[in-house]
Amino acid sequence: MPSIAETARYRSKPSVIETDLEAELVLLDPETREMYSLNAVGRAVWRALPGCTVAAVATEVTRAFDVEYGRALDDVRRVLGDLLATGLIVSAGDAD
Amino acid sequence: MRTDPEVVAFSILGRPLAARGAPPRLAQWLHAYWDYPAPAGPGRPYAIAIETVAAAPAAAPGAWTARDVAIPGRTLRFRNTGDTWETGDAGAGLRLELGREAATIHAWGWAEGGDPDLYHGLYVAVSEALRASGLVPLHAAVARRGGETVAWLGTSGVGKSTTLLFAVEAGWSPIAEDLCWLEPETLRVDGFDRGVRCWPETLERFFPRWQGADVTGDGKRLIDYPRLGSAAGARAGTLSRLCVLGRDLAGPSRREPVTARDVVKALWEATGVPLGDWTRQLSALAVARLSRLPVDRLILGNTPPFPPVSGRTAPGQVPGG
Repeated sequence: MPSIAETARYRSKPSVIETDLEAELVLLDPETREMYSLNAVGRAVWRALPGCTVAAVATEVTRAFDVEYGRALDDVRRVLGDLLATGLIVSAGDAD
Repeated sequence: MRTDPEVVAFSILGRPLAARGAPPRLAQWLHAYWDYPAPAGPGRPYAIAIETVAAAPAAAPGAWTARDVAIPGRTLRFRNTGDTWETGDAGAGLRLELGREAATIHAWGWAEGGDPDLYHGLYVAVSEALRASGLVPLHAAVARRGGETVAWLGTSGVGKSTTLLFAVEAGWSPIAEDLCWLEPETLRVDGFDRGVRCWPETLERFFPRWQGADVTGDGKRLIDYPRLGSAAGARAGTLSRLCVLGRDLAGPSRREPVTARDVVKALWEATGVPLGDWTRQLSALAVARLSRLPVDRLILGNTPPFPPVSGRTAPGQVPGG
Protein backbone atom coordinates (compact mmCIF):
# COMPACT_ATOMS: atom_id res chain seq x y z
CA MET A 1 0.00 0.00 0.00
CA PRO A 2 1.40 3.45 -0.87
CA SER A 3 2.26 5.78 1.98
CA ILE A 4 -0.49 8.32 2.49
CA ALA A 5 0.70 11.57 4.02
CA GLU A 6 -1.60 13.73 6.11
CA THR A 7 -0.87 16.64 3.77
CA ALA A 8 -1.82 14.71 0.62
CA ARG A 9 -4.94 15.43 -1.38
CA TYR A 10 -6.86 13.01 -3.57
CA ARG A 11 -9.73 13.34 -5.97
CA SER A 12 -12.20 10.87 -7.38
CA LYS A 13 -12.00 9.80 -11.01
CA PRO A 14 -14.61 11.95 -12.79
CA SER A 15 -16.27 9.06 -14.59
CA VAL A 16 -17.10 7.12 -11.42
CA ILE A 17 -20.85 6.70 -10.87
CA GLU A 18 -22.34 6.70 -7.38
CA THR A 19 -25.46 4.92 -6.21
CA ASP A 20 -26.43 5.78 -2.65
CA LEU A 21 -28.28 2.91 -0.98
CA GLU A 22 -28.23 4.61 2.43
CA ALA A 23 -26.70 1.56 4.13
CA GLU A 24 -23.84 1.63 1.63
CA LEU A 25 -22.50 3.73 -1.20
CA VAL A 26 -21.92 1.74 -4.38
CA LEU A 27 -19.36 3.05 -6.87
CA LEU A 28 -19.22 1.93 -10.48
CA ASP A 29 -16.19 2.48 -12.69
CA PRO A 30 -17.75 2.57 -16.17
CA GLU A 31 -14.40 1.95 -17.84
CA THR A 32 -13.70 -1.33 -16.06
CA ARG A 33 -17.36 -2.15 -15.22
CA GLU A 34 -16.15 -2.99 -11.71
CA MET A 35 -18.25 -2.09 -8.70
CA TYR A 36 -17.20 -1.24 -5.16
CA SER A 37 -19.17 -0.77 -1.96
CA LEU A 38 -18.32 1.73 0.76
CA ASN A 39 -19.64 1.48 4.30
CA ALA A 40 -20.53 4.47 6.43
CA VAL A 41 -16.90 5.42 7.11
CA GLY A 42 -15.98 4.91 3.46
CA ARG A 43 -18.89 7.10 2.42
CA ALA A 44 -17.74 9.85 4.80
CA VAL A 45 -14.23 9.66 3.37
CA TRP A 46 -15.52 9.73 -0.20
CA ARG A 47 -17.77 12.71 0.48
CA ALA A 48 -15.03 14.65 2.27
CA LEU A 49 -12.36 14.12 -0.41
CA PRO A 50 -12.93 17.10 -2.74
CA GLY A 51 -10.41 19.78 -1.89
CA CYS A 52 -9.46 18.30 1.48
CA THR A 53 -6.17 17.00 2.80
CA VAL A 54 -6.02 13.57 4.35
CA ALA A 55 -5.79 15.26 7.75
CA ALA A 56 -8.97 17.23 7.06
CA VAL A 57 -10.76 14.08 5.96
CA ALA A 58 -9.67 12.35 9.17
CA THR A 59 -10.92 15.31 11.18
CA GLU A 60 -14.29 15.00 9.45
CA VAL A 61 -14.40 11.29 10.30
CA THR A 62 -13.47 12.12 13.90
CA ARG A 63 -16.41 14.50 14.10
CA ALA A 64 -18.91 12.23 12.32
CA PHE A 65 -18.12 9.03 14.23
CA ASP A 66 -16.91 10.36 17.57
CA VAL A 67 -13.56 8.55 17.42
CA GLU A 68 -10.03 9.69 18.27
CA TYR A 69 -8.06 11.37 15.52
CA GLY A 70 -5.40 8.64 15.37
CA ARG A 71 -7.96 5.91 14.82
CA ALA A 72 -9.82 8.01 12.27
CA LEU A 73 -6.57 8.65 10.39
CA ASP A 74 -5.86 4.91 10.28
CA ASP A 75 -9.35 4.26 8.88
CA VAL A 76 -9.01 7.04 6.32
CA ARG A 77 -5.64 5.72 5.16
CA ARG A 78 -7.11 2.23 4.82
CA VAL A 79 -10.05 3.44 2.75
CA LEU A 80 -7.86 5.66 0.58
CA GLY A 81 -5.42 2.80 0.05
CA ASP A 82 -8.26 0.61 -1.21
CA LEU A 83 -9.62 3.38 -3.44
CA LEU A 84 -6.16 4.04 -4.88
CA ALA A 85 -5.62 0.35 -5.55
CA THR A 86 -8.88 0.15 -7.46
CA GLY A 87 -8.18 3.33 -9.41
CA LEU A 88 -11.27 5.14 -8.16
CA ILE A 89 -9.20 8.06 -6.86
CA VAL A 90 -5.96 9.65 -7.97
CA SER A 91 -3.48 11.96 -6.29
CA ALA A 92 -4.34 15.64 -6.40
CA GLY A 93 -1.01 16.76 -4.92
CA ASP A 94 0.06 17.98 -1.52
CA ALA A 95 -1.11 20.91 0.57
CA ASP A 96 1.36 23.78 0.57
CA MET B 1 -45.65 9.71 -40.19
CA ARG B 2 -43.93 10.95 -43.39
CA THR B 3 -41.94 8.51 -45.48
CA ASP B 4 -40.63 10.48 -48.47
CA PRO B 5 -36.87 10.13 -49.03
CA GLU B 6 -35.98 13.68 -48.01
CA VAL B 7 -37.66 13.94 -44.63
CA VAL B 8 -38.29 11.25 -42.05
CA ALA B 9 -40.50 12.39 -39.20
CA PHE B 10 -42.10 10.47 -36.36
CA SER B 11 -42.35 10.49 -32.61
CA ILE B 12 -40.20 8.48 -30.21
CA LEU B 13 -42.19 8.11 -26.99
CA GLY B 14 -43.67 11.53 -27.53
CA ARG B 15 -40.37 13.16 -28.55
CA PRO B 16 -40.52 14.39 -32.17
CA LEU B 17 -37.70 13.16 -34.40
CA ALA B 18 -37.05 14.65 -37.84
CA ALA B 19 -34.31 13.60 -40.24
CA ARG B 20 -33.64 15.75 -43.28
CA GLY B 21 -31.77 14.53 -46.33
CA ALA B 22 -31.57 10.97 -45.05
CA PRO B 23 -30.49 8.48 -47.71
CA PRO B 24 -32.89 5.52 -48.11
CA ARG B 25 -30.87 3.10 -46.01
CA LEU B 26 -30.66 5.56 -43.13
CA ALA B 27 -34.39 6.25 -43.42
CA GLN B 28 -35.11 2.52 -43.29
CA TRP B 29 -32.83 2.13 -40.28
CA LEU B 30 -34.56 4.94 -38.41
CA HIS B 31 -37.98 3.39 -38.96
CA ALA B 32 -36.75 -0.11 -38.05
CA TYR B 33 -35.07 0.84 -34.78
CA TRP B 34 -36.94 3.90 -33.55
CA ASP B 35 -40.38 4.15 -35.11
CA TYR B 36 -42.77 2.42 -32.70
CA PRO B 37 -46.41 3.17 -32.00
CA ALA B 38 -46.70 6.12 -29.66
CA PRO B 39 -47.59 5.28 -26.06
CA ALA B 40 -50.76 6.48 -24.42
CA GLY B 41 -48.90 8.70 -21.96
CA PRO B 42 -48.09 12.39 -22.40
CA GLY B 43 -45.16 13.31 -24.62
CA ARG B 44 -42.45 15.83 -24.02
CA PRO B 45 -41.46 18.55 -26.48
CA TYR B 46 -37.84 17.45 -26.72
CA ALA B 47 -36.97 17.63 -30.41
CA ILE B 48 -34.36 15.38 -32.00
CA ALA B 49 -33.12 16.62 -35.38
CA ILE B 50 -30.88 14.62 -37.70
CA GLU B 51 -29.26 16.66 -40.44
CA THR B 52 -27.48 14.78 -43.22
CA VAL B 53 -24.76 17.09 -44.50
CA ALA B 54 -22.13 16.80 -47.21
CA ALA B 55 -19.05 17.32 -45.05
CA ALA B 56 -18.04 17.38 -41.41
CA PRO B 57 -19.05 20.61 -39.64
CA ALA B 58 -16.32 22.98 -38.55
CA ALA B 59 -14.51 21.83 -35.45
CA ALA B 60 -16.21 22.97 -32.28
CA PRO B 61 -14.03 25.07 -29.98
CA GLY B 62 -12.72 23.62 -26.75
CA ALA B 63 -10.54 20.75 -25.64
CA TRP B 64 -11.68 17.37 -26.95
CA THR B 65 -11.45 14.21 -24.91
CA ALA B 66 -11.53 10.70 -26.35
CA ARG B 67 -13.97 8.25 -24.84
CA ASP B 68 -14.44 4.58 -25.69
CA VAL B 69 -18.04 3.43 -25.52
CA ALA B 70 -18.58 -0.30 -25.08
CA ILE B 71 -21.67 -1.69 -26.77
CA PRO B 72 -22.50 -5.36 -27.32
CA GLY B 73 -19.88 -6.87 -29.59
CA ARG B 74 -17.74 -3.79 -30.18
CA THR B 75 -16.22 -0.63 -28.81
CA LEU B 76 -16.88 2.75 -30.39
CA ARG B 77 -14.46 5.65 -30.12
CA PHE B 78 -16.19 8.95 -29.33
CA ARG B 79 -14.63 12.32 -28.55
CA ASN B 80 -16.33 15.15 -26.76
CA THR B 81 -16.14 18.68 -25.60
CA GLY B 82 -18.86 19.94 -23.29
CA ASP B 83 -22.21 18.58 -24.51
CA THR B 84 -20.92 17.90 -28.03
CA TRP B 85 -19.96 14.38 -29.07
CA GLU B 86 -18.46 13.05 -32.28
CA THR B 87 -17.55 9.71 -33.75
CA GLY B 88 -16.11 8.77 -37.13
CA ASP B 89 -13.62 10.85 -39.12
CA ALA B 90 -13.53 13.61 -41.71
CA GLY B 91 -14.83 11.22 -44.37
CA ALA B 92 -17.86 9.89 -42.51
CA GLY B 93 -19.16 10.41 -39.02
CA LEU B 94 -21.68 12.12 -36.82
CA ARG B 95 -21.81 14.91 -34.28
CA LEU B 96 -24.32 15.03 -31.44
CA GLU B 97 -25.07 18.39 -29.84
CA LEU B 98 -27.13 17.96 -26.70
CA GLY B 99 -29.29 20.73 -25.30
CA ARG B 100 -31.78 20.84 -22.46
CA GLU B 101 -34.76 21.14 -24.81
CA ALA B 102 -33.47 19.67 -28.08
CA ALA B 103 -30.69 17.64 -29.64
CA THR B 104 -29.14 17.92 -33.08
CA ILE B 105 -27.23 15.18 -34.85
CA HIS B 106 -25.17 16.06 -37.93
CA ALA B 107 -24.29 13.08 -40.12
CA TRP B 108 -21.82 13.27 -42.99
CA GLY B 109 -20.46 10.77 -45.48
CA TRP B 110 -23.30 8.28 -44.99
CA ALA B 111 -23.04 6.60 -48.38
CA GLU B 112 -25.22 3.60 -49.08
CA GLY B 113 -23.69 0.48 -47.56
CA GLY B 114 -21.59 2.59 -45.23
CA ASP B 115 -19.64 1.66 -42.13
CA PRO B 116 -21.78 -0.32 -39.64
CA ASP B 117 -20.04 1.50 -36.81
CA LEU B 118 -21.75 4.70 -37.96
CA TYR B 119 -25.13 3.12 -37.36
CA HIS B 120 -24.02 1.86 -33.95
CA GLY B 121 -22.78 5.38 -33.23
CA LEU B 122 -26.11 6.84 -34.34
CA TYR B 123 -27.93 4.41 -32.06
CA VAL B 124 -25.81 5.65 -29.14
CA ALA B 125 -26.45 9.27 -30.16
CA VAL B 126 -30.25 8.91 -30.41
CA SER B 127 -30.25 7.02 -27.12
CA GLU B 128 -28.28 9.82 -25.50
CA ALA B 129 -30.76 12.37 -26.85
CA LEU B 130 -33.61 10.38 -25.33
CA ARG B 131 -31.70 10.23 -22.05
CA ALA B 132 -31.32 14.02 -22.21
CA SER B 133 -35.09 14.25 -22.65
CA GLY B 134 -35.61 12.54 -19.29
CA LEU B 135 -35.76 8.84 -20.13
CA VAL B 136 -33.51 5.96 -19.15
CA PRO B 137 -33.27 2.76 -21.21
CA LEU B 138 -33.88 -0.46 -19.31
CA HIS B 139 -32.80 -3.71 -20.94
CA ALA B 140 -35.14 -6.12 -19.23
CA ALA B 141 -38.12 -8.35 -19.78
CA VAL B 142 -41.16 -6.66 -18.28
CA ALA B 143 -44.75 -7.78 -17.72
CA ARG B 144 -47.70 -6.67 -15.68
CA ARG B 145 -50.73 -8.20 -14.08
CA GLY B 146 -53.26 -6.34 -12.02
CA GLY B 147 -51.44 -3.62 -10.13
CA GLU B 148 -48.02 -5.24 -10.34
CA THR B 149 -45.35 -4.64 -12.99
CA VAL B 150 -42.20 -6.75 -12.82
CA ALA B 151 -38.84 -6.34 -14.58
CA TRP B 152 -36.61 -9.40 -14.98
CA LEU B 153 -32.98 -8.33 -15.21
CA GLY B 154 -30.03 -10.30 -16.46
CA THR B 155 -27.28 -10.53 -19.00
CA SER B 156 -27.97 -11.50 -22.59
CA GLY B 157 -28.82 -15.18 -22.88
CA VAL B 158 -29.66 -15.72 -19.21
CA GLY B 159 -33.32 -16.47 -19.96
CA LYS B 160 -35.29 -13.21 -19.88
CA SER B 161 -37.39 -14.14 -22.93
CA THR B 162 -38.15 -17.62 -21.64
CA THR B 163 -39.17 -16.26 -18.25
CA LEU B 164 -41.38 -13.68 -19.93
CA LEU B 165 -43.13 -16.36 -21.97
CA PHE B 166 -43.74 -18.39 -18.80
CA ALA B 167 -45.24 -15.27 -17.24
CA VAL B 168 -47.45 -14.70 -20.30
CA GLU B 169 -48.63 -18.30 -20.09
CA ALA B 170 -49.51 -17.59 -16.45
CA GLY B 171 -51.71 -14.64 -17.40
CA TRP B 172 -49.27 -11.72 -17.35
CA SER B 173 -49.33 -9.09 -20.11
CA PRO B 174 -45.97 -8.54 -21.81
CA ILE B 175 -44.58 -5.01 -21.86
CA ALA B 176 -41.07 -5.67 -23.16
CA GLU B 177 -38.89 -8.63 -23.98
CA ASP B 178 -35.57 -6.78 -24.12
CA LEU B 179 -35.94 -3.00 -24.01
CA CYS B 180 -38.18 -0.44 -22.43
CA TRP B 181 -37.71 3.24 -21.59
CA LEU B 182 -38.14 4.36 -18.01
CA GLU B 183 -39.22 7.65 -16.47
CA PRO B 184 -37.11 7.75 -13.27
CA GLU B 185 -39.49 10.05 -11.39
CA THR B 186 -42.56 7.88 -11.85
CA LEU B 187 -41.00 4.48 -12.68
CA ARG B 188 -43.29 4.30 -15.71
CA VAL B 189 -41.92 1.99 -18.39
CA ASP B 190 -42.90 1.83 -22.04
CA GLY B 191 -42.06 -1.27 -24.03
CA PHE B 192 -39.80 -0.57 -27.01
CA ASP B 193 -39.53 -3.76 -29.01
CA ARG B 194 -41.74 -5.69 -31.37
CA GLY B 195 -42.23 -9.07 -29.76
CA VAL B 196 -40.65 -11.96 -27.87
CA ARG B 197 -37.68 -13.60 -29.56
CA CYS B 198 -36.89 -17.15 -28.52
CA TRP B 199 -34.68 -19.97 -29.74
CA PRO B 200 -36.62 -22.70 -31.60
CA GLU B 201 -35.50 -25.40 -29.17
CA THR B 202 -36.88 -23.40 -26.24
CA LEU B 203 -40.23 -23.09 -27.98
CA GLU B 204 -40.22 -26.79 -28.83
CA ARG B 205 -39.54 -27.73 -25.21
CA PHE B 206 -41.76 -25.32 -23.32
CA PHE B 207 -44.08 -23.48 -25.73
CA PRO B 208 -44.84 -25.74 -28.70
CA ARG B 209 -47.82 -23.68 -29.81
CA TRP B 210 -45.44 -20.87 -30.82
CA GLN B 211 -43.09 -23.02 -32.90
CA GLY B 212 -44.50 -21.64 -36.14
CA ALA B 213 -43.56 -18.03 -35.32
CA ASP B 214 -41.52 -15.99 -37.81
CA VAL B 215 -37.78 -16.61 -38.02
CA THR B 216 -35.52 -13.60 -37.36
CA GLY B 217 -32.09 -12.90 -38.82
CA ASP B 218 -30.29 -14.54 -35.91
CA GLY B 219 -32.31 -17.76 -36.12
CA LYS B 220 -34.65 -16.97 -33.25
CA ARG B 221 -38.43 -17.01 -33.58
CA LEU B 222 -40.31 -13.74 -33.14
CA ILE B 223 -43.72 -13.91 -31.50
CA ASP B 224 -45.07 -10.41 -31.99
CA TYR B 225 -47.05 -8.76 -29.24
CA PRO B 226 -50.48 -8.79 -30.92
CA ARG B 227 -50.22 -12.58 -31.11
CA LEU B 228 -49.51 -12.58 -27.38
CA GLY B 229 -52.65 -10.56 -26.86
CA SER B 230 -50.93 -7.28 -26.04
CA ALA B 231 -51.92 -4.13 -27.92
CA ALA B 232 -49.27 -1.47 -28.56
CA GLY B 233 -50.89 1.16 -26.36
CA ALA B 234 -51.15 -1.31 -23.48
CA ARG B 235 -47.44 -2.02 -23.28
CA ALA B 236 -46.72 0.30 -20.37
CA GLY B 237 -46.77 0.05 -16.61
CA THR B 238 -45.32 1.38 -13.38
CA LEU B 239 -42.55 -0.84 -12.08
CA SER B 240 -43.31 -2.32 -8.68
CA ARG B 241 -40.90 -5.26 -8.42
CA LEU B 242 -37.56 -6.48 -9.76
CA CYS B 243 -36.19 -9.96 -10.26
CA VAL B 244 -32.51 -10.59 -11.01
CA LEU B 245 -32.10 -13.69 -13.15
CA GLY B 246 -29.28 -16.19 -12.84
CA ARG B 247 -28.64 -19.55 -14.44
CA ASP B 248 -27.64 -22.95 -13.04
CA LEU B 249 -28.71 -25.83 -15.24
CA ALA B 250 -27.32 -28.38 -12.77
CA GLY B 251 -30.31 -27.98 -10.47
CA PRO B 252 -33.98 -27.01 -10.43
CA SER B 253 -35.14 -23.46 -10.87
CA ARG B 254 -35.29 -21.72 -7.51
CA ARG B 255 -35.52 -18.37 -5.74
CA GLU B 256 -32.74 -16.85 -3.70
CA PRO B 257 -32.18 -13.60 -1.85
CA VAL B 258 -30.01 -11.06 -3.60
CA THR B 259 -27.69 -8.42 -2.17
CA ALA B 260 -28.27 -4.71 -2.74
CA ARG B 261 -24.88 -4.54 -4.43
CA ASP B 262 -25.84 -7.24 -6.94
CA VAL B 263 -29.10 -5.46 -7.65
CA VAL B 264 -27.26 -2.22 -8.36
CA LYS B 265 -24.84 -4.07 -10.63
CA ALA B 266 -27.72 -5.66 -12.55
CA LEU B 267 -29.45 -2.29 -12.84
CA TRP B 268 -26.37 -0.54 -14.22
CA GLU B 269 -25.91 -3.36 -16.70
CA ALA B 270 -29.57 -2.97 -17.68
CA THR B 271 -29.47 0.81 -18.04
CA GLY B 272 -26.00 1.16 -19.56
CA VAL B 273 -23.62 4.02 -19.01
CA PRO B 274 -24.61 7.32 -20.64
CA LEU B 275 -22.15 9.54 -22.47
CA GLY B 276 -22.65 12.77 -20.57
CA ASP B 277 -22.43 13.88 -16.97
CA TRP B 278 -26.02 15.08 -16.54
CA THR B 279 -27.55 12.11 -18.34
CA ARG B 280 -25.42 10.00 -16.02
CA GLN B 281 -27.01 11.74 -13.04
CA LEU B 282 -30.44 10.82 -14.37
CA SER B 283 -29.41 7.19 -14.70
CA ALA B 284 -27.99 7.25 -11.18
CA LEU B 285 -31.35 8.54 -9.93
CA ALA B 286 -33.13 5.76 -11.80
CA VAL B 287 -30.83 3.08 -10.40
CA ALA B 288 -31.18 4.42 -6.86
CA ARG B 289 -34.99 4.52 -7.10
CA LEU B 290 -35.28 1.10 -8.72
CA SER B 291 -32.96 -0.46 -6.17
CA ARG B 292 -35.52 0.32 -3.45
CA LEU B 293 -38.22 -1.82 -5.05
CA PRO B 294 -38.93 -5.32 -3.72
CA VAL B 295 -36.47 -7.67 -5.40
CA ASP B 296 -35.34 -11.27 -5.41
CA ARG B 297 -33.19 -13.54 -7.55
CA LEU B 298 -34.59 -16.30 -9.75
CA ILE B 299 -32.07 -18.98 -10.68
CA LEU B 300 -33.16 -20.63 -13.92
CA GLY B 301 -32.37 -24.33 -13.77
CA ASN B 302 -33.48 -27.52 -15.44
CA THR B 303 -37.14 -27.15 -14.43
CA PRO B 304 -39.66 -24.51 -15.56
CA PRO B 305 -39.00 -21.20 -13.83
CA PHE B 306 -42.30 -21.08 -12.11
CA PRO B 307 -43.75 -19.10 -10.57
CA PRO B 308 -42.08 -16.32 -12.56
CA VAL B 309 -43.10 -13.92 -9.80
CA SER B 310 -42.75 -14.79 -6.14
CA GLY B 311 -45.75 -15.02 -3.87
CA ARG B 312 -48.36 -15.34 -6.59
CA THR B 313 -48.56 -19.02 -7.40
CA ALA B 314 -47.92 -22.16 -5.44
CA PRO B 315 -44.28 -23.32 -5.68
CA GLY B 316 -43.80 -26.08 -8.19
CA GLN B 317 -46.99 -25.36 -10.08
CA VAL B 318 -46.44 -25.74 -13.80
CA PRO B 319 -48.02 -23.25 -16.19
CA GLY B 320 -51.26 -24.65 -17.45
CA GLY B 321 -50.97 -27.55 -15.03
